[in-house]
Amino acid sequence: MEAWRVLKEEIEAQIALTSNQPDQDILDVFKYSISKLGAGIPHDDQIFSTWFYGAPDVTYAADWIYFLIELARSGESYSMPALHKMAKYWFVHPSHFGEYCGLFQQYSFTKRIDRMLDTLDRDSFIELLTVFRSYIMNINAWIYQYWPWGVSYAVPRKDRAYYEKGLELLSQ
Amino acid sequence: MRSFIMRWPELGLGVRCKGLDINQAAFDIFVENMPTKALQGHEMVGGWLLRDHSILFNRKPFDIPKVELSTENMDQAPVGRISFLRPQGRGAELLAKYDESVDTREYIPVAQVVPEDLEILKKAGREQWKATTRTREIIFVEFVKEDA
Amino acid sequence: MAENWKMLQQEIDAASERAVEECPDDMLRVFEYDIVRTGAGTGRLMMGPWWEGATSTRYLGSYYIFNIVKVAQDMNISAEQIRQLVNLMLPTALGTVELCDISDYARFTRQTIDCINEEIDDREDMLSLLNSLWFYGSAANAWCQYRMKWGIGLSFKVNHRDDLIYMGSRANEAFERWDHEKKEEN
Repeated sequence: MEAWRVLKEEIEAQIALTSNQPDQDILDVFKYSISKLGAGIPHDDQIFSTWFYGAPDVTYAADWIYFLIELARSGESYSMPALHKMAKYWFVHPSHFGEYCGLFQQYSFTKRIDRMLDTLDRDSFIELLTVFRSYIMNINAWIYQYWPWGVSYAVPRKDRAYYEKGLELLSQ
Repeated sequence: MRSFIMRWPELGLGVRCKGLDINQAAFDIFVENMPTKALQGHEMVGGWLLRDHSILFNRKPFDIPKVELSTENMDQAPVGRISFLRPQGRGAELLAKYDESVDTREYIPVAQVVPEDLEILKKAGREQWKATTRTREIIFVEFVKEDA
Repeated sequence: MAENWKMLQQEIDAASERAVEECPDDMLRVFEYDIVRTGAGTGRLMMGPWWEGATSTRYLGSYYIFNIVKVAQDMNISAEQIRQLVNLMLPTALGTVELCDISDYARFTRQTIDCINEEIDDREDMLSLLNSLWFYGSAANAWCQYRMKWGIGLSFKVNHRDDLIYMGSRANEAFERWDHEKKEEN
């Protein structure tokens, strides 16, 4: 079997797994606050900045791939070498930071996609990236599950009345 | 009959959803991929919307070109609207509007919860909001064909 | 036809100049004063506008616009291709920036897209305007990161190996969860 099809099957297996249970890396980093490569430790030993930056650099891969597939489908205005180069800049590079933040599985897949990009024709490029996008979307769903949204009950949106009352209190 | 059921087994709730006059091909692809299941989430910026960040199309890929899909701004959509965001290939995001929304972004409407089930949808929305912001309870949503 | 894009570029460049040392009102409004005039932030929670607003601001400029300019420079793509990339990549992130009330940046971006679609045909002019917008976006992004309430993050400490080992050893001491009967919402 061609290498890209082998990888595609492995990604499909992870999609199936993460459709029913949390992705292991997401549990490690977002539920249990484990810093697997040291991210956040130099900054007061906190994990929040890892969450804040690491999550989008991985999950925006779904959008980058969406763009690449739209471009790949829009006739021949982008050659395969051009699409490969754009893929390397657009979602392969940010994946390194995702690894540093502890999201190992996506990096493992991305590295393998990167190594085989030059062997992919238009159809296989679209097919492989389409499946990888679904995996990224699944881990994004779990990130949203474990994100500490409720913290900002302590920091609600303010309005004019709030600040007017504050000024009144200050001038007493 | 162009309808499906959206249900939350953990909550014991379910609503019936009917197709629209627009984006019928998108609706058909969605139904063709049922039954399907997703982790339920909540919209955190645009208002009272259930948000599924990953709906999988495992049977038939979504292959309708963007230019052929009608869009609407979520704040203009009626309560009960089911919409896609960025459907392509094997996946999309799905939103279900259960109460007011200030979301001015564009989405692709594909279905509407029937009027008699809007209060059930609202109840599911409130339970998900509690799960998202307080309890972190894991809730799944299932989409099944109505005759299933 | 008046070259409106040059007037827009001047306005953006002037705003960029100010933003080097002065925090744009958008960032003060959303990240310092927790004001979102659009009403965004479901349930009045600011975490959505903070995280999604900051991220979409960063992505709009430092990633999407930057990468369009980079592709244009590296691969010598045509004006029509630049237009295609702008229309494909910018609108969704722009929608979030706008919804989160980062309004000046959103307005600059929307007007840039309009100029590229309706007014500018020259490739170099498109790139010139995009570069100006990118620079403003970079400055805005920097202030975004400065004003973000990072102190909240101090509540979320990293769990180190010894923490996890200890927690595992104490698991039996943890109060067992029970499943509550579902109650009506208060």
